[in-house]
Amino acid sequence: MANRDDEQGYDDLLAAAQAAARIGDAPEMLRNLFTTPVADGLTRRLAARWPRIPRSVVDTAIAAAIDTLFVEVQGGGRVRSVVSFLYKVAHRRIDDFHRANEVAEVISPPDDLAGIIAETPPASSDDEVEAMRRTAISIARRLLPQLGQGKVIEVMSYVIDAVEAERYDLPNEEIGEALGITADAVRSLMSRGFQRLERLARAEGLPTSDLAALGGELDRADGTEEED
Amino acid sequence: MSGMTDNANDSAPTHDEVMRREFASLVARAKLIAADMGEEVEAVLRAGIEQPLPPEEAARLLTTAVEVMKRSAESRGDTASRAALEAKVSGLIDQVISIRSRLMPGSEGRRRPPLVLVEYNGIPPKPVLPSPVFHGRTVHMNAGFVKLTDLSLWEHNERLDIHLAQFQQKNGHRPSPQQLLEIMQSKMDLPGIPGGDEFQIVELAHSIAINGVRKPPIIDTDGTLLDGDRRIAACFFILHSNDFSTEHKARANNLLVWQLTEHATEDERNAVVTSLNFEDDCKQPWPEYVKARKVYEEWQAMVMLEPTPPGSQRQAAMKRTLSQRFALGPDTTVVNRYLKMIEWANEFEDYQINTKSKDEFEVKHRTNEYFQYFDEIAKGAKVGGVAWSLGQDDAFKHLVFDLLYDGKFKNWRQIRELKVIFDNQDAREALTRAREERDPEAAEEHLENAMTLARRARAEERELGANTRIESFVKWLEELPIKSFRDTIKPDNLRRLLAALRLAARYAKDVLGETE
Repeated sequence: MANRDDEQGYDDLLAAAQAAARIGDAPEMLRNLFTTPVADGLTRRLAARWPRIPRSVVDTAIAAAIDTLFVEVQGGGRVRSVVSFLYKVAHRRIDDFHRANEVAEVISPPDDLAGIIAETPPASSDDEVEAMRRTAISIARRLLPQLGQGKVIEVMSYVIDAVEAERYDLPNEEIGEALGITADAVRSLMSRGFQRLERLARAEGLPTSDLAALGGELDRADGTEEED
Repeated sequence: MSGMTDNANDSAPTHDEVMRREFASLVARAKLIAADMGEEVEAVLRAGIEQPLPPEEAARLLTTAVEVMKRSAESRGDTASRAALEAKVSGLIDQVISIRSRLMPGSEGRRRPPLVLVEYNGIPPKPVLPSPVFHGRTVHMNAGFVKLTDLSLWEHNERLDIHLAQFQQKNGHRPSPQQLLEIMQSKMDLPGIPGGDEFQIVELAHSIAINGVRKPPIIDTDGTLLDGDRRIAACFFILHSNDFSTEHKARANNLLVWQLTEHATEDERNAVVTSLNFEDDCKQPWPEYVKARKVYEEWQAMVMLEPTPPGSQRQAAMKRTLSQRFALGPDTTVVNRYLKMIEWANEFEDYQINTKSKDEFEVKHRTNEYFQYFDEIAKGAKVGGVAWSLGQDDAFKHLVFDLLYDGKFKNWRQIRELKVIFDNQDAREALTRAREERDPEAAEEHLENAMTLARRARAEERELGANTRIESFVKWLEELPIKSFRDTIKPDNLRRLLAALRLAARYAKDVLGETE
């Protein structure tokens, strides 16, 4: 376990990594980042979480997350926790791989035609993927008014906006500052919001449980029990 | 199939199902971006402190990060970042590894010093001219001599992927150079490896003893071998065997090699490895399983580097890039084939390891040995095909996987016939008997019985249905408006109809002529 001095040292190095990214100095950002145990820990945690995927894939997911961090900060974005940001982006990259396979199953015809189609794909296929994403977001927005009291709706609306904007990390503190409430209140309201959203979705024949397994810590982070 | 962890038994999902998954994914993504990661952040730091990456793994991850960032910078038009990364990559890695070895206990390691080429028989080291081209990229190199014993076999050699991981699991560490050599020379006892001289080192050693090493192995600046692992293993064999003369041993011990220069980039290293192991050069290539897995892993990485999950149009473009990257030609046929084969191989391995509790590396050796069968299995994802049939019933699929593991399939034709066995109870029972039979000949007999039973039933089924089908077709044809022939039916179909009617007319006349 790291002692307090170590932790402070890591925080300083991560802050230095962000400072380097802000001025577009990628090698310096990498040097600072790799002097902390963050890349090591991310590798260990992600490899343990997905034991069947090759290590090279974990490496690439982390590399892509580091690149995303660089682009985000260089572009003026604010990253409150580098570790949380990197973990979430790498997690999402791996998830995207699974989703890409599913999309390919539907859009590409099976067996011997696949090669031919790969050469001459339907012009609308990428649009189709985007259209599905937009439809899912519009369904979520339609369900928002049924989520209960105003603050729950406001918090969930903020979250859905962030998903639509392809955000990678959305700290509770940011939502709290935007809506004038505490981070703890955000956590509690969001937990209730997700539970109700999932219940409403199930009632409409849109099961959400099959992908709930995407993150055990996410469920733990929800905190409160489901209300009836 | 739908990826590595999802239920792979279902047939392809419908559009509605994908829409439902899209919504579920949206909720999962919303949860992910908004999750409070306090505990996970602590766990990440703790894991990093307690289990730091060894230097070579840290260097590999850092190299990957540099490559990804370079590619990303290029796509954004950020030439400054790309140039900075390109210029500083080598120094950066050395610096980071050095700092880590001081600051992070457990991550110590040493980088090997450069290996200097020497003169031999009056031939001094000199640049290779013209500079050789690997996978479309000119790579500057020097030619010169090294002592065989100064070389180290390439411990990341993908040819040995399974062996190396198996060794590590068994012994808790990577093999030493000597142990690596024992693996190459088939002297290491690892379960599941087919017997004999797996890499045909002895035969090659006899050729080298007489002719010398005709094609220079390629080494990195520190002497790490990038190409020529079999040749080097064969030279070591000559050096340590009593079957060879002093002259042979001297020839094997003083090797002409090509060496990368200190300015070589990772892209150039990769080009050398790809070119020499994927492009056909009449040498013993990596096993197709290894190549396919390499392509599959690269595909996973490419998909993950996309900002959003790619649709089929984008996937097709990515597959073309992948195919070119691995020298697999301008179209994506081989890439598509490899990806499907690996998906099935993953399922096979998952079942054997997790359900049947077989040793992971024994299973991987079997996958390697029977990898071509996954090509046949992967075909026919539409209704009635082999892949479709296996996807309908776990019990049937597992029965096939067991037969495959035990080496009871003798040829691809037997795999192809599985689609007719699938819905025939008698044939399936015969197949089950083949699985349970220990005697190979008896098992083969059961397997052939299964094929025969299924084929016979299928033929009978066709015959039984003939009258009804003809009656129905004739009635439909007679009622078809004449203008359909002109306006609706495609010329190709008209030709097929005419050909079928001519054929039917001949047989029908023969039969009716005899009976009337």
